[in-house]
Amino acid sequence: MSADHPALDPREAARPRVRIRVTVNGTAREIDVAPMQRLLDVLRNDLHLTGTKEGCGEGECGACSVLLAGRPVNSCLVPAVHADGQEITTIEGLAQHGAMHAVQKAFVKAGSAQCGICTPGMVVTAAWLVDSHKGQAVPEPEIRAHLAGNLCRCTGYGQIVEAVVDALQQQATEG
Amino acid sequence: MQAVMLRDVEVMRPRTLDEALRLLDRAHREGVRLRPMAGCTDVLVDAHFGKALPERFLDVWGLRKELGGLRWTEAGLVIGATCTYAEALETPKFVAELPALAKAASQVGARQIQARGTFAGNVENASPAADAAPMLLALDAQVKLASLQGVRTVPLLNYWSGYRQTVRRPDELITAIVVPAAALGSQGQWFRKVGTRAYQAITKVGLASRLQWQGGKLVDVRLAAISMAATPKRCATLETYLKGRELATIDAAELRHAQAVDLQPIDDVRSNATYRAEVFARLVEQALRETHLATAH
Repeated sequence: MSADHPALDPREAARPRVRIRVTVNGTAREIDVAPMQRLLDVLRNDLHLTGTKEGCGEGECGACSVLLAGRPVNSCLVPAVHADGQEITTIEGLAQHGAMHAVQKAFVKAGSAQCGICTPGMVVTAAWLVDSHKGQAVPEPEIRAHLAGNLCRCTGYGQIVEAVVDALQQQATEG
Repeated sequence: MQAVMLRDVEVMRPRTLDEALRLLDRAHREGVRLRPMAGCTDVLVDAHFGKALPERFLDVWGLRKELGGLRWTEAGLVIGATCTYAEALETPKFVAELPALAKAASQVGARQIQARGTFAGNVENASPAADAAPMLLALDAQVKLASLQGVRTVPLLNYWSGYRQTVRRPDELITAIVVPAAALGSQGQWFRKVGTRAYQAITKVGLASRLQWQGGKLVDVRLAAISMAATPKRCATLETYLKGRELATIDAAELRHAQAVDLQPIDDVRSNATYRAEVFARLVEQALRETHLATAH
């Protein structure tokens, strides 16, 4: 930050100029970003984590959902600089040691995807819901409220909710 | 094109409130527009739609140590400028004392927006369709503004000066929104928004209110209309009509007549004037019934 930043040369402006340190899916990374560059673009273009999708680009659809500091956010509405010093989990980071997350297994089992564009964001939000309610019964309206920021135009949500209920039960029985 | 535009935008990232105020002061003197940003849930949507962005942004997200969180003081609840909806909703005392504001906060977008959006941003964005800001208006909240010239407090009632306009000077920064102590845990807090869906929907028409009954009579009335005027708006005529009345003496036609003096909704992309006026009247009736019932036992 400098209060005396010189007038910007367009070529200068096109160059990244802020270094951020983030932990992405458990790995520490240092990346140079333009201050208002979207976290979504940094993940996809700089880190090549293309599992995170761009849907609407305006915070409506949730396809770009990732966990930032433990909460789901729309990565299209987060300037990359706000991720500085934070932990980020993307769809690529949910599987542990080659084993799928309980939510991923449940989505496969219930057939919770059709076209697939919403699926990574939906799974990230669902995994957050399941992980933050370990051993708790979550009523269906509450599940739907948690997932309300992730739009799906194919499934009608039935199999998605079914998968989340299944994953919550699996988590409960596995302790 | 969008990426180029965002790359061209300069962001000032102060480390202290004092530094932030100096930057605002300097930009103001030099005639540079410096727009404060926090959760960016409005700023980056504007950018997406290619709206003209100011030359520079002032990023206050990094000032969360100074401007974040909730603080209960003698004056009331101080909601820091960078306090998000999610932070407030995770605070049981907030939900217990301000149930209708909590309801409004829980219906801003959905969880992803609530993790980033702030009460102060909702107030400054000055949308007539805001969720939390009209409820803050019904709670008599005040806006704390700081600049190098000093600190001042503006009641929310006088804060919105027109469609998407506020009385904040360009060299001022919102440091907090204060909900007065008298409003905390007060009787009759009531909020309902009507949109296309329960979440991820912008309000077609809504009511944020505080209705206090005593001995069967309405002794205190605050009604803030949502998506019914150019700004969230208190309904002076309607409030005067209702004050002192018993539920049985409130006449539906008189209520609608008083409402028409206060509110002249418009037709737009989300709804139309006829629907808005009728649904608003029914929201008032519902709020009256439900808050009356809540105090009846």
